[in-house]
Amino acid sequence: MSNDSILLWVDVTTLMHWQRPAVGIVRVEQQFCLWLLAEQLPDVGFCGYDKSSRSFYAVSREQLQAQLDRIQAIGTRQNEAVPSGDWKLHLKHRLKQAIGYLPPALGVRVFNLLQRLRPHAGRLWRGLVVARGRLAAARRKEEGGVPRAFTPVQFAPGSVYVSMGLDWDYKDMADIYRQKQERGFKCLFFCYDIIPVLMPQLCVADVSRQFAHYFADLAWAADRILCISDASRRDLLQLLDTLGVPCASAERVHLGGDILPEGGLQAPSPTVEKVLAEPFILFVSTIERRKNHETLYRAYSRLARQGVALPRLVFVGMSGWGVQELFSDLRLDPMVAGKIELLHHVDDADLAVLYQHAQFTVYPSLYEGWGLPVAESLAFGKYCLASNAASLPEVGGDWVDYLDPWDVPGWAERLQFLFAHPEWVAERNARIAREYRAHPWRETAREIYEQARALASSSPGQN
Amino acid sequence: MKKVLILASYSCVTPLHGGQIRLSEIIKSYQAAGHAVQSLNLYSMMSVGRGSHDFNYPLDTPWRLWQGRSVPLIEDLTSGRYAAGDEEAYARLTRAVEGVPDVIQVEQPWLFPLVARWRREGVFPGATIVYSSHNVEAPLKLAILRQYGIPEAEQIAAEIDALERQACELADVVLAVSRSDCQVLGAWCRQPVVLAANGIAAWPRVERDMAAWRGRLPQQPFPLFVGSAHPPNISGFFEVFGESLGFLPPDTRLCVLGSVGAHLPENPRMQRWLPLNLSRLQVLGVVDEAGLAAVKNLAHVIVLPITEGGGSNIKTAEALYSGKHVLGTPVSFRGFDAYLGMPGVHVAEPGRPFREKLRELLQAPPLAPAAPDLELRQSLLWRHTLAPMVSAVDQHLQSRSNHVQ
Repeated sequence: MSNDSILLWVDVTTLMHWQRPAVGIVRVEQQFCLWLLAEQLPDVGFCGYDKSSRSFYAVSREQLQAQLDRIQAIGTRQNEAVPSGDWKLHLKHRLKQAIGYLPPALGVRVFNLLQRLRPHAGRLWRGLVVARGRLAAARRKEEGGVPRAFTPVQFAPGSVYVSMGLDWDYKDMADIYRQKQERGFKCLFFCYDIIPVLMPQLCVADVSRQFAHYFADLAWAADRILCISDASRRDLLQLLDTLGVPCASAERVHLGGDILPEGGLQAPSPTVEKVLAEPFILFVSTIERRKNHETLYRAYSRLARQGVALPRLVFVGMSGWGVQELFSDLRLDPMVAGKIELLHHVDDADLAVLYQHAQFTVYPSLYEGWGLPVAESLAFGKYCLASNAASLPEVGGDWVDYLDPWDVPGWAERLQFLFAHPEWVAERNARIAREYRAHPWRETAREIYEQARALASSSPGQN
Repeated sequence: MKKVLILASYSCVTPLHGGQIRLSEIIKSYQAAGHAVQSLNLYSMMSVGRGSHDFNYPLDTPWRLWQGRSVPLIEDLTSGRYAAGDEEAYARLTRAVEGVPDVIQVEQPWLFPLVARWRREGVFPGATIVYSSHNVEAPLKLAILRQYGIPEAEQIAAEIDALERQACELADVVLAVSRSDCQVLGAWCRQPVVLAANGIAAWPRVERDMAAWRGRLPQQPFPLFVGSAHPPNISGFFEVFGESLGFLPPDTRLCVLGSVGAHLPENPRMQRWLPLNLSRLQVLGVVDEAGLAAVKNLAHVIVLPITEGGGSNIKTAEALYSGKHVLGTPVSFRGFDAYLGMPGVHVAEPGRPFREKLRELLQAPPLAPAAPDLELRQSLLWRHTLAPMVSAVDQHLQSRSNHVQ
């Protein structure tokens, strides 16, 4: 099939680099691609972007399917923290671990130093990559062929380039803007949230200004931006207004909430099976400062001191930045010993089992662009006690109760009530199971696809 | 041939900033009219361009203090007090005057205390006194001092105001650079104020220089801002463009020529969105005349982010002469009302209107000036703008000579 017959180019750079279970942003890209592959749409092509050479390359359906299968297979069952083949990821993981052992003040300084050195390391690395690329190109010329894995593509005028991944890591938006100006294709991008700009204190190092730069270039390149909530759309438009950046069009897209595997619930892995042995409540989220595990820990510690009988609190998620002290507290605080459990790299099948068996779920996040776990909780018929911040009320509607995320006594009081009234929780769960209809991922995928099609058929200035 | 003595607070050996350029062109105009000119300049010798009649304003003199206190940004004001009040300086400066001048012209009001003392003490009694104003200085200085949080701002401005009024009273001929300045100064004068607007020197279009610069400049049409490190240039930049340059597309750079450029990236107002701002900014620094001409010839739009100052701006005249799109604030076109109707000349208020207009102009095709506009542009050259000065001074000398006879 020639490139000219492709109307929508879907960027899968993030998926092709991903080596862990699909969560958050990766899940959106994953679900969209799964649907596109299932629909076998002839005018859709897949591509990646190589930042070092500033070029797009084709990804075949087979390559993409293989990668999706690989991601699906990663998780608790394989019990692998870091894939052994990815030395860069391995190094990053080891460095983060090592920094975690340093005293916090020193750790921050070392981290910031590494962040400052990162561009230089990047330049050195890119230099090596370019040199290697030239060598390979010369060799290919001799051999008379271009490897299929890296076939460059150029988008036809009027076609739509759709990108929804971790673009601040993998894309040079200024370059994409230039290519778009030259070739006349259109761009459909995503905005999940602008948290690094709004709340830089909750992010790694000082990334706020870098993200503002990223969003400005993204908006310049985009013909349409899909935002995952009204809150994230509002935040984005406000930021662009502050920066003086014009925005062609920003629309809201509804994320899915169903994660039940196709074959229904499967037998849990041994790790999860052990968790199921006792009553538990569930918090699904990356373990980082913004997600505010701290409030739950403090509420639990407070309730434990009061002698309240506590179900186990299970944190499911990867370990992120700024939580070393929390981990230390969890390890050392006798009040919560055996009461809080951490599970990393849980796959969808195990996650479904955990949702199914949880008494209810909690979500005290300080800020969200959407709040997928709240939707997932409801999809599994589980009541959620959530933070009232940002987009979360959009996700949970009237099905969920909300608290100020900083209000530790409020959380403790509400949790105590829920533990003391299992019949109330059961009634709420039953009502949710009976009446709540999760937005299916296939609808989300269709919505994105239709937005892209509409963009393709719009004339300039009609976005 | 008459002898013209000019007193100034800067050198004109290597004219760089607006005041120096004006001084240099004034000298040329008098010389072209057949007069002998001596320029006697008093300033801190840290500055460049020491001429044969340049005098140092010492850094350690107590005359620099204002009412016993060290106050920044008023070297110009205190230098006049030093020239007239310090006996050694007074004697040196007086001795330095060659012969008996027929005309004593003071650039800006700063060195008027020296002329006032000469007048009191009967030194050079017959000379025609010319006050060559560049701005209405008191409000301008007040704005600068306030911006830097100087507590004595109001008192200092009041002193400058008094000095300007005294200059107007004492002078036989008063020159101003804009019609609005003429009105202000006219209220303090016995005689009509002469408009001697700032002008420009024509610059060449040297293809070789332009080719050399093309590689260093953005590929896309770019806006150009030319300015010195004069504080109003810095504050004007941020008042007009705000704290984010995100209004420019990712492939467009705002090019900045002149010493103002070095002060932009480090300015606190640039920091909030620094990576974004640096991606849209290209600081070219201070370049030679040939470089300046080449960059101006290659620019698509010349921007004039000027928000304060009462004088007429040389940068505005240069921009109007350039034949490029010109975008300025209402303040930046003060004194150039006649040019506002020319094609390619655009006025926008600071902030969003200015940014949006600039974005629009970057999409516009390059300007192709018509013949009448080219003619109008010729009137911006110094030889035209300073002609009324020479003629007014000659006329005064003539009338004095008739009176004596």
